[in-house]
Amino acid sequence: MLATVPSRTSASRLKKSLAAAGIKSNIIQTPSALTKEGCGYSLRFDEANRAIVARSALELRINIRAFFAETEGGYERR
Amino acid sequence: MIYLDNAATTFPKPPSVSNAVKDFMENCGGNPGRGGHELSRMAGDRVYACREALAELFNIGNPERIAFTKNATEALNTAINGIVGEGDEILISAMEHNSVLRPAVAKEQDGAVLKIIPADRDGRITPEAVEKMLTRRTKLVCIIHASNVTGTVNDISAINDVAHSLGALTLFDAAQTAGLLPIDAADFDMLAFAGHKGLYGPFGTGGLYVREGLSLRPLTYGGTGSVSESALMPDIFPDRLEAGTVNAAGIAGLLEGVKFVREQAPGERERDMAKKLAEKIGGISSVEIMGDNGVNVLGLRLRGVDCVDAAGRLDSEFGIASRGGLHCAPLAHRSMGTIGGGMLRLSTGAFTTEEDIDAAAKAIEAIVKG
Repeated sequence: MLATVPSRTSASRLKKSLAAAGIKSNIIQTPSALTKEGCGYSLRFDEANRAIVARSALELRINIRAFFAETEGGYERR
Repeated sequence: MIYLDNAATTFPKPPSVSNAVKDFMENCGGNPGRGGHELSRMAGDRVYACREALAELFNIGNPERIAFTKNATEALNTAINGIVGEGDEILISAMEHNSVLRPAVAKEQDGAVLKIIPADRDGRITPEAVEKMLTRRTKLVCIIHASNVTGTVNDISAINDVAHSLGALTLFDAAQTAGLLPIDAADFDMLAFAGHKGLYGPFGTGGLYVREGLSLRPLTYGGTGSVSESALMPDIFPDRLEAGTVNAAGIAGLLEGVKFVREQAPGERERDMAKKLAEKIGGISSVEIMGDNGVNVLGLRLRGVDCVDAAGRLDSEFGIASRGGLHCAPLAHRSMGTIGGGMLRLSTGAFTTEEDIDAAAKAIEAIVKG
């Protein structure tokens, strides 16, 4: 699953917070199909951890733009 | 060479700093925040690690609020230009460096109201002096943490409280103190710092902390690797203030500099050596130590000897690096009564030894005795 975040720096910050909670994530460039704003960054993580990711972002006051599930056909907003 | 010009830039740097720059250049040279490949990710991770280390050093909760700049001057220009507009009142002190004086005067020429807070006889800016000049129209109070000329340290926490009492924003210039004195920026609005001085990083590194909720007009506009379809700079930090590629190799080095500082009591050795130097030099007739030297800087007035000539003789005859002149701080020299001849400045670093101090004291004595 992907969470689109405001910046490369906020992606790093969220990734570090998740790592401290034992959750693995990776920073990727946001696929162009998922953004109307142009370049940006997302965090990729296991969908089972979505609630923890959302809570961590809230605690850090990082505004997750959207969550997307990765499907066979591409991405689906969740 | 005995290096006593650490207030200009610290030298030598810890080996870990140059090793980190080399390692970045050879093994990690991607662009941080542009693209998503492995080298870009590695570079981005190092840049973020440095942001985080700085945030911890300055007690800043959110590392995203630290924007990297090429030096403290750029950070100060970013803050002053980003906050002060036509008709706004800006207070600076009579000990400021040209990095504050010049952008403040430029704002005055554009219609801002500039007021200069006087210093006391040691070159200190007291909270009471700030309070006397503060009005409800004051938009920004900008004060140097420690003078680059005398080393006199200001109580910026108390000044911060005074400025906030009338709703003014605060900007503190920690060019001479970051890494050398403990700094708690949690309640400040803005803090500018140099990377290549007390933080022992490479040239071309510095930064500006801006508290959450405060936004600035950018000084530079351009690509940020984010929100790239918009023709406007993003509102998000640090991207708003970081147009163009940051000095990632320098920042990788700065990260090691910050680690070096945090492994010791920040600035303790530098201050201890400066104190010992002051004790030795203080006993020499014809030498006057200006200010109260609370950091690693000694500003000296040598009676009967031109300070630039003295710096030249220290270099050529004794192999000692120092600095003579006005130190880019004419207001400070007017305050201290040394605008005519300037001062000779000696400044210690983490690698200054007692032997260096002895040699410098003997050299100064030889010079003033002719």
